[in-house]
Amino acid sequence: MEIKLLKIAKEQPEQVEIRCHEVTDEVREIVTFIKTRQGQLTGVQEGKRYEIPVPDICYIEAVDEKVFLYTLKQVYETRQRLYELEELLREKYFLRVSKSLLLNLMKVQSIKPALNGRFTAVLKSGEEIIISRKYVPELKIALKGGIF
Amino acid sequence: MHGKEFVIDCVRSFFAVVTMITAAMFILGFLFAPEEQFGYEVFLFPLIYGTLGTLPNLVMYSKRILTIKEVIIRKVLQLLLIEAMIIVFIFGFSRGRAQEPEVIAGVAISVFVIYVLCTIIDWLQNYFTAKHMTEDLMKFQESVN
Repeated sequence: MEIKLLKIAKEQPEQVEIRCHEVTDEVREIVTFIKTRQGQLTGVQEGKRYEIPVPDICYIEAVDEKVFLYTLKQVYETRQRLYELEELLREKYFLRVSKSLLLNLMKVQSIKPALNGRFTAVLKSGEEIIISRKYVPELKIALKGGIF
Repeated sequence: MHGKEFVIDCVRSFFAVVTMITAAMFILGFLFAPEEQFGYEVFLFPLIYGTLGTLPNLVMYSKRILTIKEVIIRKVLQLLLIEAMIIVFIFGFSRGRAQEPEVIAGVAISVFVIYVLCTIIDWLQNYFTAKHMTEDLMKFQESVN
């Protein structure tokens, strides 16, 4: 794929245009990357596509090969893989807290102990998310400002 | 839970159990047989009971995250296994006063108390860790906003 960069005057709006023969996964990945940089993700709900502001997402969960974005009241499906989103959203304060879940630390109200050495993140919405023990050390570092 | 985490858990659990058993042996011995004299081999018993008490930890092993209900069921099963193993080990091969029901009941209650105490100590450790993490979370969110 040829890449062209064109410098424009300040009065003109900035834009990214992708010219492709087919909208492949690779193209979608580029689009997601750009949207994430702009603070948005694309989610699908009942066949309709929505642009969701990243700060509105409470957590992202992978369930049976599908990835879902959870906001306060809505759930959207996304075509992105969890590991891709983990990379893309790292600087937006999202952190992996279990094998299948990315948590937006800005949406967490408190952390409390659960049984069997695990922890529970209580979201501002009241919802509770289990934090796997494996990810606790990284979470501790993140909360002390060592990752973001 | 990963294998490494599980082994670390077992080691922690072993030392906590050994400490509790030593205390329980003192209390039970003081109550039921204060006149009894022992040799150096008695130092081995907390280690043996500690090993027996740690083996049923295998019940808690799972590669996936267990639900709260599953954890509770497995914990009950773990306790029953510990009770069975310790009681069979202590009373299965002994005769005389050791076979008396109140002695068996005393040991069974001690095992239960030790199990509950270990669970509480573990929970308290996590409680303070969670408290510190929540404090760090508040500071982190403030610094971002």
